[in-house]
Amino acid sequence: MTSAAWAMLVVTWSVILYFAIRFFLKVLRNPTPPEPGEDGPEIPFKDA
Amino acid sequence: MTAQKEQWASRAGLVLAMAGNAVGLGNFLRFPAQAAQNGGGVFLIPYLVAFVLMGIPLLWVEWAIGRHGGQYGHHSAPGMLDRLGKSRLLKYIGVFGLFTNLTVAAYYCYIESWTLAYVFHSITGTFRSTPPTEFFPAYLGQHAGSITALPPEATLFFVVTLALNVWILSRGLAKGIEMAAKIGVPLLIVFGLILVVRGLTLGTDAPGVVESPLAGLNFVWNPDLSGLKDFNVWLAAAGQIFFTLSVGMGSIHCYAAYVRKNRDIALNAASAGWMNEFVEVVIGGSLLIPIATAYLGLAAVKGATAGGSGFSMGFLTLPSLFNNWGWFAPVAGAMWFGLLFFAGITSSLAMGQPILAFLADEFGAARAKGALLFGGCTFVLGMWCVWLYPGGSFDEFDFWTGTFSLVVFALLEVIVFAWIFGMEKGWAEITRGADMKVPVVFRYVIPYVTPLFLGVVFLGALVQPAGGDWGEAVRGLLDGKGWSLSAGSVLGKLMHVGDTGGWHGPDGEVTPRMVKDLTRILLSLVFLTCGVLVFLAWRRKERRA
Repeated sequence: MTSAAWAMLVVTWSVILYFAIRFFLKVLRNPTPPEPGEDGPEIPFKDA
Repeated sequence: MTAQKEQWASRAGLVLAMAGNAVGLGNFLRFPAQAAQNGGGVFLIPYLVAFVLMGIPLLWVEWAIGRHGGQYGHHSAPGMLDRLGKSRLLKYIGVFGLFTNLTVAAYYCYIESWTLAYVFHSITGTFRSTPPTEFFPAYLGQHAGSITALPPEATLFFVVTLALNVWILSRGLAKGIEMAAKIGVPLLIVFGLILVVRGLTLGTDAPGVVESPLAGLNFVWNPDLSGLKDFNVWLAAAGQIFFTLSVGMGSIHCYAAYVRKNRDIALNAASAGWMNEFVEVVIGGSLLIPIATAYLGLAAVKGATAGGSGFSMGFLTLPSLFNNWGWFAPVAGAMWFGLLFFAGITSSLAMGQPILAFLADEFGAARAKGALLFGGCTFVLGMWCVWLYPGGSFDEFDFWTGTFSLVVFALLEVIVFAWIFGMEKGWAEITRGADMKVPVVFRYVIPYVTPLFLGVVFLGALVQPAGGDWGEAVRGLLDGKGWSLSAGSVLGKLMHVGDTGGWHGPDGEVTPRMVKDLTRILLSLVFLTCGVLVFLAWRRKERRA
């Protein structure tokens, strides 16, 4: 591997890993499960 | 009959389902080849620029359109688009969101079934005795000179894959799709990471290894700075971002429609988008090419990826290379094709749900009935691909539904969102309940920069010049020599550039051209049928009102 290739790999992986981990951790820390009775779609499916 | 409200069981499940929708076979097969062929590491610069200026904004737009439509009981694109403005025509733009999902699912489930078959044959050791280059054409039922095939094993695996999709869809959002994503996405990441570590740690003294796998990694990442000045590289990067995120399909809209009115979409969208990038760049970019380079050498890999696709390496080469791994070979094969299968099924489920939602919202169809109807339509359309695969039906499906329609729909929806719905309301929709601060610059990126990017991708596909040499094509046009169209461009395909034959050959036999034209007629009829269904659904609503 050339040093330029290593540099591109390390920088790109760092950027992607930073945002991917940061955002997913934020999602996990704020689980906000749906609660019945909230505003929102009431329609959808009908089960026999 | 009891009405039940569909909803996601957890936020992480929703994000995993969205990420699973985005992560597809292209993450592992197309991305590394595209990167290697378009400037190596430098490809990542236009790629990330396109991700930020086109990918992320499109994700936010589609999530916003979806959640907005969901508030009015619409979980498929026609109703959602209808709610964005006063024009009665807007709902017909949403027809793309039905057409694309149905037709892409047809051929995509066929590819998905190949991966399932390959898992089976990896475990049973088929590739120890039969090279995949012999196995694959036989599996597809290809015979020299024939444009039709009815392969029993491929058909069986196709039916099994479809049945699995129908069963999961019939279980509903939380118990079906979300559960599949919670199992499939982590597993494909684990499988991918195991194979990456195994591949990159191959020593040059290991049996069969002819070159260091790092030479392959170098091929993907070594930056060729001249690529930054090449329009084709930018076009390829924008195209890759567009197709990897599964935007322009109507499936993101559908999943987002089940998010509550005041719940976050900005962070969810960003999280799913970056997770897809992790799988594509970090795992996808470190898997196929390094392993293939280790056993075949860099020159062979360069030749195999020349067309910008790693498909042949993934299906025809890798299973043989795994044989060098001794007892681990069947496990590695099962992991490789297993991760492709999980990537595939989490995407095909996302194609089915909008169809089920449309049938439920507009025609009151029960979930199980909708899933069966989706499975039936997908089977009929898919069998067209199976039967006429050697004649080119599959490629026609891929081009018109999996490429062209997506770009058209994305371009239209972003224009409707930004310029008809309006950025004031649009921005409020994106940022309402947001768990992250959405940079205000995107308020201006969405109406101006994103449509521009999409317009360039669209034009690039429409009039791509022969040989991909845009400079030469423009000079030719200015010199009065006209524009030399590539046979692979939209106009080139429509005009059958480079194909002078007719529907029948010299001996009266059916030619691939006939298959192509009939496939286009079939796809047009499917689009028309979707349009008629939307028309009937709205007429029904108006009568009731």
